[in-house]
Amino acid sequence: MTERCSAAHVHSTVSRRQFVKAAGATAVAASVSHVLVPGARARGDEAVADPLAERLDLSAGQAPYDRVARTVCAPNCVGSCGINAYVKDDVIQKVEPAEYPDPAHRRICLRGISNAMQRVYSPDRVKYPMRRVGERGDGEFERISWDEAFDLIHEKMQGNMDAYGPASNAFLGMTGNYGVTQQKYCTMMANTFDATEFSNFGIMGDLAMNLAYLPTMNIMQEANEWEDMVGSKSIIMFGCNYAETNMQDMHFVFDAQEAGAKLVVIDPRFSRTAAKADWWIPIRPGTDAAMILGMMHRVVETGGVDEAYVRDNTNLAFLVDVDTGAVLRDGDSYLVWDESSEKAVPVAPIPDANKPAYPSVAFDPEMPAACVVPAMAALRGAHEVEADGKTVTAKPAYQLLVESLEPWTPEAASEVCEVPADDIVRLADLYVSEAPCSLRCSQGTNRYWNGHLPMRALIQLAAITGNIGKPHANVNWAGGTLFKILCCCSPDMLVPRAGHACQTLPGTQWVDIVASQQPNPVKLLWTVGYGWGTQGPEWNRVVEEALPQLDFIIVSEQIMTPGAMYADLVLPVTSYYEEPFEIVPTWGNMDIQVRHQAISPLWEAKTDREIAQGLCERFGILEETTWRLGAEEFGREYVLGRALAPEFSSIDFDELLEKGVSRANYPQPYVANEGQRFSTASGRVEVYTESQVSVGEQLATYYEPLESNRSELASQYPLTFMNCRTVYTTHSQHVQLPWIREVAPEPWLEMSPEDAQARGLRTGDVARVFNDRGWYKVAVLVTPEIKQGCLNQRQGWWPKDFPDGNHYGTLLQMVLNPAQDLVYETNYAPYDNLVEVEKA
Amino acid sequence: MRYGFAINVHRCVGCRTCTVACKMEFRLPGGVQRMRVLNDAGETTYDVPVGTYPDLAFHWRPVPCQHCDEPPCTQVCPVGATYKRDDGIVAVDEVACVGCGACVAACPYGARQMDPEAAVVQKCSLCAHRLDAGIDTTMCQLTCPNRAITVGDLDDPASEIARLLTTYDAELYEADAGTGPRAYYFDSSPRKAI
Repeated sequence: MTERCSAAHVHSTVSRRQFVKAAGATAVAASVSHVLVPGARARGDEAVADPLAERLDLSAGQAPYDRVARTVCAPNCVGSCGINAYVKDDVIQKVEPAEYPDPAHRRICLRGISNAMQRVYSPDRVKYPMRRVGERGDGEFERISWDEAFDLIHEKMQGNMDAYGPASNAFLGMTGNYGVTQQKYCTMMANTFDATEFSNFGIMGDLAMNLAYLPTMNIMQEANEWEDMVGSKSIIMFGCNYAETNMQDMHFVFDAQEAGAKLVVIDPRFSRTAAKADWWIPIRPGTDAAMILGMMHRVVETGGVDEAYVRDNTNLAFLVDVDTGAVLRDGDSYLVWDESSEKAVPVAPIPDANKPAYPSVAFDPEMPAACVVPAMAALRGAHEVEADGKTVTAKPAYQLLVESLEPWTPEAASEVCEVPADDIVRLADLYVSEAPCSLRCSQGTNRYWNGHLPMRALIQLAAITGNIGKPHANVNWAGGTLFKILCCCSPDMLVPRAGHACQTLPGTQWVDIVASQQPNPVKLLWTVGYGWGTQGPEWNRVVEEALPQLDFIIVSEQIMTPGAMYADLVLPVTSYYEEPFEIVPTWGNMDIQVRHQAISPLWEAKTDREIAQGLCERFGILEETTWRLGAEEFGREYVLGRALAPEFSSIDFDELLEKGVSRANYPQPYVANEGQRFSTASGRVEVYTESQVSVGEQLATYYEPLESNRSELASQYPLTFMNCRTVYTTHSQHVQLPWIREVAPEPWLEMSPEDAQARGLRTGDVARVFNDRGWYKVAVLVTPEIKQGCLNQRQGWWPKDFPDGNHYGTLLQMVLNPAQDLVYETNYAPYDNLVEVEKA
Repeated sequence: MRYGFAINVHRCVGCRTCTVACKMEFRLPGGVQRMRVLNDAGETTYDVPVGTYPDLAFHWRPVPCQHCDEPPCTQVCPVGATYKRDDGIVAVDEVACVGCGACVAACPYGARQMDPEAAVVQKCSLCAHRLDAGIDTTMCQLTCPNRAITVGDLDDPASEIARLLTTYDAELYEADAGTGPRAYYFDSSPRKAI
């Protein structure tokens, strides 16, 4: 094989000084004939040039290029930045942020730059289909042809179908690529082959906020547009570290601050976002909901409730049977207590036509008279009401809400969350007085076992103060088009082969399901867009209990990830730059973008779509599936054309193709729930959630994290083990890139000076971190940014980055939460783990 | 005509995108940075805040060449390879540079580094190649996710940089060095009382 031309190789043979002296700084490439230069390489063998091996001739002001391709970088960082790739001889020379209709969204970051220049051209790219020849995990593979690969997959899948049924073939896709079809790829593949699809939203640990939106508003996620913060008088963030996790959107926070907004950040860590705040409130991890309940106690006590809003737009006037917790009904209608007539009167649910169907916001604004809550509807008191032929004691749900808050005095909340009661009062008062206030909640709160509780409490706080659906206010998590478009994919799109369907099993339980082979055998697992082995829970169980049950593991990847090392077959997939076409949504705004191909596929990489096509051909079903269509045609006809929400289906596809970016047809500026109609059964914000009575969560509440640092377990393992993102990487995708390693060289464990001193640890010491589930070793960084009793291991590092190759994933639990399962699916809670640390 | 930087430290979160974008543009070898972002310890990695929990502060300072009015680097260069242009940019002629390192030692800002592979000095050129070609942004300015960096003509009262410097109280970094640095640092949103 041809020796790969890497930067190191070039530097060792011809020094830069020789380049400069021989040719001048402006004509380097041409002077070095024995080095592979762009254009000299051949596709399909290993001789692909490293674009960084050569200096650029910048004399014309820009790197030499023969074309500029507009594509979209979208590695699950939530940004989806438009990128201009400067390409010469089919090699990316450099990238810049692409022009954007609104320049505020023209952006890029170190991760996107490093990805384009160092991951696309990485020596660790999966170059060919690779079949395992050694033991699983040893990383010994042999190159095979695509024909052989498709034959092998066909043989394995068909064999499983015959022996165990089609559900024994399973797919698990993750979010390594934000293209719509990539994100739905495993659903589509599982539907094609009647296979099992493991859902991904719980196991990725991003679901908890949705678990609060779903029962109360019947939506997945929402937010006002980022620009909306300009105009807020205050911004309160619970567990949001946008400066690192949404670094491409943080500038909107700065815009708001410069326009006068006061920024408050609640976080156990002095995060980079907290560092920019006007007020940082440290809190005990996993207890934000208790603090918010204390705030609500103060708001109710001081008359901060917007009773008109509560009556008109929530279900809090509805009467509830105090014995059962059931919302009383008269036929299909709810009942409210009319104080003028002193009797219960019906309020009909708002008909479907008069409320939106998420993610659409369109509806007929008429409000049928039967649906209007009377102005004299009681919010307080207890009333005897006839229902179903018997008399029951009923209270308006608001009365129950007030009663539920009675124990949550600021002092009581303070005892739980360790925020001084005065600060809880001050923040509650600020929320009411410094309005409009943008309430925001994010993943820092979400990654505890009780992670849905803070958002649930914030929705309740925003609802009783009338702040839902209001500009510069609202209760915000994740907006943009990303989830909206995924939530309105049509069955036509998701079922490529008519008459065939997958079974969906919860991804949070995939280890248990595979290990137990229940409820059905799972013999083949195919992962796509998922760098597993770097963040997930129970790594020891994955390796020891689940993987041995699998007869065949397929990993579609760009890079040899830790998960790919365990595969029986690794398939090379294209990077964004090599994809011929894709439709890419974003969390950053209400736009849709398209990728145009920047360079030809490297080595033998194929797109996921091409892989599906190849396999369907082997099965002899290609022509009966929509896989037969090209990516662009599928995007036009199915992704956008048949999207269930008119906001997407009405996008002019040709204009989108031409411009690369188009706004979905949502109102501008976009204010979530501005219409004040909700796709709940009642059509109102169901602050009182009858569906959660059985788990005691009909109203906002609080309970401790699973591994609370006040639990008995804490006497043995006293430290809460967080694993937050860095500003330098998105999960595991970027940590191996040389430029990223230059700014973040090695993993480190953030530890408070007090905790470090108590264990005789200093910065640079290697520590052993352990609990009953496992252990790993890492160098300590003593830092005052972290609350005593907490640790933070930045996530994304690979096993090989730690001493002994042991990863912190061995420490992490995956315990189901029945309240979350009742709504949708448990959210993986990677911060909710207690550990102890000792000097290694 | 006098180019300079206005750097908004409130908007800097220490992400080092400027560092990396610059490395891409100039193909800098590992470890060599024309644009460094210094943390509270004066380092480019492992950022730790100053203070005691919960009274803490994080500061980041992007440090390009300060393009001084009285650059000491030009005076010590034995071959005239480093020089000040009429537009204020302190430039390096890489062909003339003999890699002696005298300018590295002379710079009070640590803004110059030896390129061990090319054996020439590396420093911020203020993307003169772009500015000269009529592209009005430097790579660090173009790529900064938080719009912390502004480059422009300090002598032009209509320029964005001039507007920023009249709107905000800007400071020079280590002005005591007496070299007339032309990178101004300001905080667009000092902590508000609550």
